[in-house]
Amino acid sequence: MTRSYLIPRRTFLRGSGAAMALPLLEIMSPAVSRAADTTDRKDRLRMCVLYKGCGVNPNAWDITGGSETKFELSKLLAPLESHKRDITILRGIDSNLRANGGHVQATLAFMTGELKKSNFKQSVSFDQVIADAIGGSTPVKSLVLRGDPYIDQGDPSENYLSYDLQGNPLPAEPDPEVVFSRLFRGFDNAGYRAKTVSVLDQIKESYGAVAGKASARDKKTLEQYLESVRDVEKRIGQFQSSDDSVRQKRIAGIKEIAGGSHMGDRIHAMLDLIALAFWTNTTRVASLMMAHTESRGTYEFIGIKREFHALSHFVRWRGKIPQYDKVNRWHVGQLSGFLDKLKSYQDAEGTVLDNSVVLFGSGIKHGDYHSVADLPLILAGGCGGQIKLGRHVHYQHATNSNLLLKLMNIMGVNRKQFAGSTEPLPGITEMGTFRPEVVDDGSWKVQSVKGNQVVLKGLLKISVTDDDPNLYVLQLSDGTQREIRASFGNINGSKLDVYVGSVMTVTGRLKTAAGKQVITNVNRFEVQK
Amino acid sequence: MNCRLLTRNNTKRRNALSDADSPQRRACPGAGTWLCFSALWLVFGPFQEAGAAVVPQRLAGVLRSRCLECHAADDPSGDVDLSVVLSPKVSDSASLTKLWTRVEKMVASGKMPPKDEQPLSKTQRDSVLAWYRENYVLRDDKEHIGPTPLRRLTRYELENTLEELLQIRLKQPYVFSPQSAGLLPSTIERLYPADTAGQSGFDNDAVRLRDVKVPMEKYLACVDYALRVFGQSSEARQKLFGFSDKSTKLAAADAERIVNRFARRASRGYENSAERKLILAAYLKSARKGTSYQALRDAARRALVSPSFLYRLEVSRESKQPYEVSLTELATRLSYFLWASMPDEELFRVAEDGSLGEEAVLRKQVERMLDSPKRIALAENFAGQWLGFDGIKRNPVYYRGEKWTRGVYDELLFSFDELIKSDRSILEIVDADWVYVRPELHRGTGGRPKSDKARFADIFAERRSREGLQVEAFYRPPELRSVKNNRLGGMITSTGILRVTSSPNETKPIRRGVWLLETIIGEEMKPPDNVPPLSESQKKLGKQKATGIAEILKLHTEKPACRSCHQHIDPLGLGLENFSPIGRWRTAYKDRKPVRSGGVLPNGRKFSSPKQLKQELLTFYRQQIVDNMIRKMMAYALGRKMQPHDRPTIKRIHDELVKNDYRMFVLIEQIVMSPQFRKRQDQ
Repeated sequence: MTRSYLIPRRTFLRGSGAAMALPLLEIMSPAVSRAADTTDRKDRLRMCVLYKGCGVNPNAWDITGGSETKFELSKLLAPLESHKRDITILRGIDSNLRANGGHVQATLAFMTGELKKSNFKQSVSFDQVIADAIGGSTPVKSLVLRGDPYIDQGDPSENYLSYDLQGNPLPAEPDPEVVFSRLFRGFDNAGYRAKTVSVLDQIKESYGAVAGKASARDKKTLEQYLESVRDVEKRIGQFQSSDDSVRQKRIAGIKEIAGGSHMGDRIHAMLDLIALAFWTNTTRVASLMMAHTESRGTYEFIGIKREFHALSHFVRWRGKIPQYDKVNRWHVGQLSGFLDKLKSYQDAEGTVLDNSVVLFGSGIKHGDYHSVADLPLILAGGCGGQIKLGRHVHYQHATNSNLLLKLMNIMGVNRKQFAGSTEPLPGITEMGTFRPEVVDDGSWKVQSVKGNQVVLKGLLKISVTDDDPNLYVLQLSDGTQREIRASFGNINGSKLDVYVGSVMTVTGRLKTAAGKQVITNVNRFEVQK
Repeated sequence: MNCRLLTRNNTKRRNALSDADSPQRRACPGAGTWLCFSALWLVFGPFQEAGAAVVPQRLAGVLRSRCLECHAADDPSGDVDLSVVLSPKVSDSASLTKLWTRVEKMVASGKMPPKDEQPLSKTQRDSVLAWYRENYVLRDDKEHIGPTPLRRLTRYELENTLEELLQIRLKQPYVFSPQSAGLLPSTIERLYPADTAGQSGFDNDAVRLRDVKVPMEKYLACVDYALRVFGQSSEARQKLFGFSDKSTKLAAADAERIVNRFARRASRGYENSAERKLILAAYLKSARKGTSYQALRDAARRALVSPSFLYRLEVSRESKQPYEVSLTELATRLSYFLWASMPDEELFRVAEDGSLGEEAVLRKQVERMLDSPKRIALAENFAGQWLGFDGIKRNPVYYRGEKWTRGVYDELLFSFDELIKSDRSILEIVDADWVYVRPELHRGTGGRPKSDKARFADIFAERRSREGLQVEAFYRPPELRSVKNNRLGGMITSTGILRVTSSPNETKPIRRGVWLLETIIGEEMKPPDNVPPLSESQKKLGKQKATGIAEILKLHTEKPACRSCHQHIDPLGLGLENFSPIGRWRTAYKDRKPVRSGGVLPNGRKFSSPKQLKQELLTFYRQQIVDNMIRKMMAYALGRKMQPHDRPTIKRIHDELVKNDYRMFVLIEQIVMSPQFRKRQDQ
């Protein structure tokens, strides 16, 4: 069911009792006629990232069994049942970090693919590369939004996903009403544009008069002011050149939007805004931070009173899992609603969803361990018929930056390299030829026992069914499992989570406790390539 | 398991992670173990100035014989490699400064060499300290203040400045109704993005503002909005333009006078005739087509979009030496420090007539400004960011029952303001015999001042809504009361702080302990990797009875590597256990186990209640607390992180505070009188 979250603005203001009203910049001018929508299909492709921090409970997320095209959705993915043909679920894609990340690292690397030295400047994020390449044809180059109100003051880098070409963080906009007026009011008015252009010209004059007298150091700082002026000029130019009738006709029907009072409403509103912005071709690139990676937000509107981030550290207290799962399921539900919306908008050819690609996911897998292998990722939408949908693709340790490079390519960005990656991820525009699971060749077994020293080979799995964060299991060919105990999930200073899903040979001490064989004191392990 | 290997791997990862770490959350308190040292020095600040000088033979000898045995290249103890200081490369200068600052700190405090080694001789010690002083504190044997960064207005300052310049109100009125409370964002706050804290810990950090693009489109929307509000206020038009009737026709000379005056105020006296002409030209151009009012408004917009409005420009001499700034520049620095706004008429006047140059007049102005309700900026903007209670306002996730939240926020706001208003000791942030408390918590507090003026903070008089009555009907602000019991008193046990450092349902002793160490004591903390879950310790305790949070934490942090930091953190956090997540006093947990707020400080002193903890803080940590408060307020006043070259000033202020009962006014006055505040340096 598609619900509209566009509450008429007047009603909202009355309801909230707020004494103020936002300035809507100007009222729209009548439509300026231009040719009908004859744009090339490739010029209608859109890309959206929906990020939710705090990882997932792997047991509830992972799909078990099935094949690439025939599979049952897992508990957390169940809200996507009606969209099974619109999505491709990606497994086995690792973050470039290759070691368990903190909150900051997971956020930083999600869209940039890497970490830079400085704690504030990063390398460009892939959405901005796309925006730079194709955003010039739309009024707004890209949207960078957040639905989670939480801002971490301790570490500013945690609050950003998008970085511009110079590596400056792009603050995400939190207020749906403000975004609305920027997208569908303001610069859509030719008079307002002209007025702003003349103001910008004045600023440049002033800059000339002022900068000449400033110190050399200050002059450098002031340059930033001029740069920002140029940004607005560009944006106005974009509104001007895309002043077509299709867009105007679509916009004319849009009602003003209100943010609602709680986080759920705000996230709905933001998703609606993205859908509208895509439909009206106001922008073609968007990202939304649905949940901050260290979110202290609570989800009281679905009955969750604990902080989301606190819930994500569930291993220490398993009672949290149902609540944690509920929030994650809610996020997947939002994705599902968003896909409904995109599908409901007709494009010149097919629906907006057909011409879009949506990347949904988190920068870590296991919410408690912050493991960065096998990230929870979903692709949705065909991106103009390019993406093969309705699949569950299981890679064996593919890299996130390869995925980002691939997404850039299918969005029409001719780029050979991104964040150290030179290979676009295969298996997106064509069937995956990967084996769905590691193949058991029969060699997973105990290889030697000397005294209490044991060497054994098997598939490493994480145990979240037991209330024990230090417990892993090694799956053997004969169907049995051996438990491995690793202090803090650590072996020789390496987090084991990174290797979950890999076949490894482990040397350690064998103990029998409560009728179970447990490997402790692991002093050596080797991962099979 | 190979211990050596483990250490090295861990270190490597920590290195990788620390690259992206924030400057705010850093390393351990100066506990002085190797590991702690390592965590400390990993923090690099990119904007250090000192170069890399060659270490003299004698000092090199000291380092070789006393330090390098452990701190050498291959597998340096605590991952601190001191061999780099003997062969410094120019590119290393930032990290070298950091490294030397740590070395100096460890040697000066006697924490290095470690206890089981022979201490440095006096000559050895002096050679280290003297080297540091010559190379990092002084330049050419002289004190200096480092280059002065160009300041851009923050959102908070922008809103205040527009209010003052245009004589309008933009802030969200202090309005209460059943649906909304006084913590809703203002229109400017909704239009313009929030600034984020830089390395100084404050959002007015010049370097951070330099690195973030001006949100120009939004900025223009703010200017438009402010001018629209201005247009709607006949009072404001009268004040600024001298007429309120929009159809009034002005004589050319009058118009020129008004435009010039406005432009001068908008750039806060930064003289620039070229620009003045441009603004006047904007007036003349517009006056040919429209009314005088419209033309003045266009000229005002012209002045507001100029970089000389958004930036606080100062005239430069391109000098390596510190030199006095002009009096209008000083007035501007002063008003942004105390009011986070531009100078008012009177401050402009004393700057322009030259009298602000006299120390007595300057002091008088500081007094006058601290008597004005506008001083609320210090509580709201400075203390709010420093103590973190602005999080209550910034993060709507804390909104649980808005009336409650506003009261909680106001307690902190009014308390900090009380320190200024009544010129109290800055140590009363930690403990005091008075408290601002919400009406529902008056129980347990004693007498209150007789006059209403003393009882309520009057600072919000100007921000009251037009529907004043509604305010009283829905909200009674916190009142000043004396403390009768041994519980309340001091901002560290106010509801807001206790709430922000807890999760909604349970206290977080470690979060609280870290907060005290970082915020009040001024230690740099860094969260460790590989934290084992508390449940592990819980299990170990197993069947033992009466397992409380203290016992669990003790087991949890028993490893030496953990102890080095946690011996500082845990007692502080546990000492506040009597306060629930929402700051209510409790003597038992939900499961009826008794609450024990007690512990042992690293110096062996025992305490058994929050009150005693506060007293211990004020003795054991007093030096550090005072030093931290000076540094925090100076960083806010100067818009930059403190550097080694600021040490002499900090020391002088510290000495003055000791002599003057740590009075707030002395702190503020001393900062204003410091060379850092009154002078400028370009390189």
